Amino acid sequence: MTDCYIYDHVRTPRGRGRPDGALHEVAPIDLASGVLRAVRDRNGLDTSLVDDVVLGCVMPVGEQGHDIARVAVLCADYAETVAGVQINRFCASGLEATNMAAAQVMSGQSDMVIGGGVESMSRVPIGSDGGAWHTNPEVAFKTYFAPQGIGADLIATKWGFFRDDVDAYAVQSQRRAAQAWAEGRFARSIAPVTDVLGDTLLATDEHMRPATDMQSLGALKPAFTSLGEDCGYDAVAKLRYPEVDAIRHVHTGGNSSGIVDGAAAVLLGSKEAGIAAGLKARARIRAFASIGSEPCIMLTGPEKVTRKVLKRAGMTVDDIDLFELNEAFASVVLLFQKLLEIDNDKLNVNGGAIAMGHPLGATGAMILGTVLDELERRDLNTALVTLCVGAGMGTATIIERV
Amino acid sequence: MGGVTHAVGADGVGILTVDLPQGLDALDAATSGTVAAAIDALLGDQAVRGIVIHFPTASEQAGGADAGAVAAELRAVTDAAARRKAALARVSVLQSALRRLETGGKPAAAAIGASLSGGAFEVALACHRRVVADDAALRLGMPRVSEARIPSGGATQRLVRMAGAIAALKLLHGGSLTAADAQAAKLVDEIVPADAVLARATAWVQSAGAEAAVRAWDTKTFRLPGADPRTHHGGGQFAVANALQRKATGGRSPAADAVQQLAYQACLVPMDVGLRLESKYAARLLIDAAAH
Repeated sequence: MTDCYIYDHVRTPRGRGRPDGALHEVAPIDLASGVLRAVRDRNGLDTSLVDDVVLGCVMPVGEQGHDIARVAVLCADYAETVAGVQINRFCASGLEATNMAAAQVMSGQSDMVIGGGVESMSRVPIGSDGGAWHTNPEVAFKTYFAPQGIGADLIATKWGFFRDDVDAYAVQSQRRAAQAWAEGRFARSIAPVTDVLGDTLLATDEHMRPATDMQSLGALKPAFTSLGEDCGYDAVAKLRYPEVDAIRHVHTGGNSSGIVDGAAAVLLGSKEAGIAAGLKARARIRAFASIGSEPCIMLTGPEKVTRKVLKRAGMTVDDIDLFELNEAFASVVLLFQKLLEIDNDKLNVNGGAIAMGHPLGATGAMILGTVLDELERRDLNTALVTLCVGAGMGTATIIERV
Repeated sequence: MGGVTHAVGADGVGILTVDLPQGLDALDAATSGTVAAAIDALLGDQAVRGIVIHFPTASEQAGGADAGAVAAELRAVTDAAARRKAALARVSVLQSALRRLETGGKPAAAAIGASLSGGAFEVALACHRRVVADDAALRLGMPRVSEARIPSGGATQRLVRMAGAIAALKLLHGGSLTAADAQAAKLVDEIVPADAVLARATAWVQSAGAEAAVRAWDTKTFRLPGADPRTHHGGGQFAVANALQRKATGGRSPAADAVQQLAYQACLVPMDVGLRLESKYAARLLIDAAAH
């Protein structure tokens, strides 16, 4: 098998995913082509060496439709021989795109591939793509469909995480993200987004609230009480989990991932491709995996896929220097940490999506780059990146520096 | 008198009187067959230019009474393919006649003098116009779904296309409306004094042109009312309706699940496909009941 190396990573800052967000005036195609241009320009890349661009996008309809990866390639003025494909593994799409790009290299079928993702949640809102899972009655019934927030609250209920626990985690995420930004830990990977005049629209993550404390979080109303009680989803979850008496709704906008806009790109290739392009490898893809988990609670995949990918790599939890788990909801991280007994100083050390937001299709590629930058800063070797995924899945990747 | 009778007036309006106080059960082959034969007779009679279906008395279906008997009949058919065929034939008698009425080119009006539920209401829904008596006690609706039966006279398809899926589901799971609420839900065209119902319906048929004998969903310009699962908003409404159905049924009612699915399909497929699906789901419930 061919080794696949990471040569570079760039991401946009994340803009608030609302009409008043800084990136709302930027079409998703421009976010995607923007990171492709950035990764080309900063590496002096001859794009004719790139075989394919794999981009995650979770709402691939409307202006994110039509295989946005190929159209972004064209808009970024890449060589016309560069193909593009859009993929969707829900919230792990950005990481899955990177894994699929790496798989092309590892199987020897491509030499250089870009993985990444894009999502303008302000312009193509979550839910825009429809789908059988929640609307088709037979499918919803068979899978005990309930929205992610219900699953997050169900995790908190089932494993005994209370409001103070999830809020304390959120405060830590905000504090760590603020410190990381203050110390310039993200600087290497950020490609600021400019407007049509060339002025900078956004250079930092816009969603952060560094002043967040337990008191301000405690004042927020639970976000999923009405969905649970008025819309029937608590009843659905209790049909699947009869051992749960009443679902405790502890998640709020403050301890859940933020809705944001953004894009990311990861430049991957074989050793030979890197030499041909005059690039220095930063890390190697050691292993990756995806797994299915129970779909009603939906968000328990990260622990399972972590065990799977560690086994595949012949590693243990102790062999990983840094863990990066997408902060979809605080309870997801707390459960992962509890089940795998991960040291708090190794997990999401620069904060995550609770502070900085979760641009669905891009996040996986963003946090892969975040943890790579941090490995280099701390001069550590191995990292495991993972995300919980819709419909009950988990995706994970292990990287090691070279 | 009573029962199902029909006559043709000098004006060319055929009057089909449905006087079934015990309710019209679509699974009751004899009564459904009588209604179907009367419809076909009027459609085939060249002297008839339009049809009024008159409901002089309340016709309310208790629901479920006959499903066990039908299941027992099916149990006697041991060959699986033959059993499927027999079940489909049984559930299709009323529905197919009503579709012929709906597409037969002769304007048909229902003159509703009293409460209707179940099969009689399904007959009324298949007419091109519904004229209802102004009576506060009058109710129009469907019986509760029971273990082995769902509406099989086209209600799962017509209610969704007329009132929208969410309103239709409320009725299909066993709900009823006053005449005024039914009119607001687009299920009733006209409310008139009780003694004028038959005359108004007849007058409408006399003056109706050929275009009046075509339902909206059989035209190219049809727009689905209410929640459309293909849209962001409508998909969300369906998702919540699904969860609330779970809350109400606890997931223990295959018939309620079938109704939910048929309402969803009604939003997505042409009328004839939707009706075919209704028959197949109704037949499957009977076949499943026969297997126990």
